[in-house]
Amino acid sequence: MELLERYLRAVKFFLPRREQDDILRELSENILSQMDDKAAEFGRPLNENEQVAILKQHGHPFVVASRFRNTPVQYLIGPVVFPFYWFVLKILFWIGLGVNALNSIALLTSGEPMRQLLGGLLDFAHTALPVFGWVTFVFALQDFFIAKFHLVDKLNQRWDPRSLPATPAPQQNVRRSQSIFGLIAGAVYVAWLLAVPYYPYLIFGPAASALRLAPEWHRFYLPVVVLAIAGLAQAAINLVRPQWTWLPPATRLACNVGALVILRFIFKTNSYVFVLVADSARGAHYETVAQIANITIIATLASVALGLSIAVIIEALRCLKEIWQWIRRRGNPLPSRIS
Amino acid sequence: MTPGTNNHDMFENLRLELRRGSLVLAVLAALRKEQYGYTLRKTLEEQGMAIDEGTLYPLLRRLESQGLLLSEWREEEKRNKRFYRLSGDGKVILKQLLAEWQRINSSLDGMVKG
Repeated sequence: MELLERYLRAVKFFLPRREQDDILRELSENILSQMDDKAAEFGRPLNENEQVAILKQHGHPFVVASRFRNTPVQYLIGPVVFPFYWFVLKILFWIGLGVNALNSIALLTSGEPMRQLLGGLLDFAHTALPVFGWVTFVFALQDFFIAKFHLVDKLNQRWDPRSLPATPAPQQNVRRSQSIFGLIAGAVYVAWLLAVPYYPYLIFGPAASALRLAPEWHRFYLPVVVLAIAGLAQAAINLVRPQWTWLPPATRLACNVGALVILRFIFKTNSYVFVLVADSARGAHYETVAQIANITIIATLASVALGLSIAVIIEALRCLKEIWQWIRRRGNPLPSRIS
Repeated sequence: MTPGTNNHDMFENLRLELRRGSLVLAVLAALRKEQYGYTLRKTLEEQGMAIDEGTLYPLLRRLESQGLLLSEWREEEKRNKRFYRLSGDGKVILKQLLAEWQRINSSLDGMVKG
């Protein structure tokens, strides 16, 4: 009966301390009775395999012990709060992933892309895990108070069908003219961006013979082109799929976040414009122009960063509104007679 | 997974759900006569209400803690065994549950045959 003793010792480990002896005594007795019964049926003592079969029939020690625990079902976030919690987690995950992807694109142009990419992924994990932890904590707290003050019961008693949100207005498509304008403006912008490296005149005008963009700009060139193409693609897609109303705010949000990430790196650069001819009277003149240009660029970029930050908040709210309306449309498949 | 397997799993889940409530009734009814865990399991099995050990023994302890069963350690065949029987409260509850079960049964009967 060594197997039985080992089995009972394993079950004991998982049992509540106060009831261990009592439960084991009864369990042991029941298993022994079953083994005796089988032995009587075979007319001989049970061999090891037959004992194993009986113990296996009872179940793994952990499973057996868990059934004797009288603790009520426990959860951190209950079924009422869980859908909201899951929804927020998913949104945060995708936003975080998007920001990280844009960040990675920006890093691709740096000196050691693989190392930077790996660092970027680790950064994402470092940022995402505490965020998820805090979100879980906040929702668990919310769930705790909802249960403690019986808020669901109270809500269930007080609610009135007339207080339910109005039926969503019929979906309005993205206007065709808006998409066409976006397509033309986007194409001009992309063409300008692609031409700039070959024609500095497009940035500096008549001063193009003496001024150049600092080499640091090359790191950000590709990400800026990618963002411009994303805007162009959005306009083209909406021309064919005008019902995808979520696409413009989502693209703007992604592009603005991407632009902020790029700006973060651009701010680390000291000089944005340099002078080609430095040792002549003309060069001295352009040196002054370059200094003014650098100060102007810093001030402009700071203003752009501020504007983009505000835009990100607004676009994020618009996206949430779009998602909310989509959920309502999806979760409201009313029969035509009612809708 | 094939549709057949799905159906089988679904049937198993629903069958277990259906049996879960009836098991308490079966255990209470069987314990009108005093028995210990293993013989009770055999009795239930013989009556067509097979129940695995992992479900039965915790259920007995739960019903006892709810005051529906009484238990006593006693020696039988040179071994100490825990015998269970219905308590006073258990008898009242069993009577009520049986009446409810019969009501459900006749309602279902009417619906199925009607």
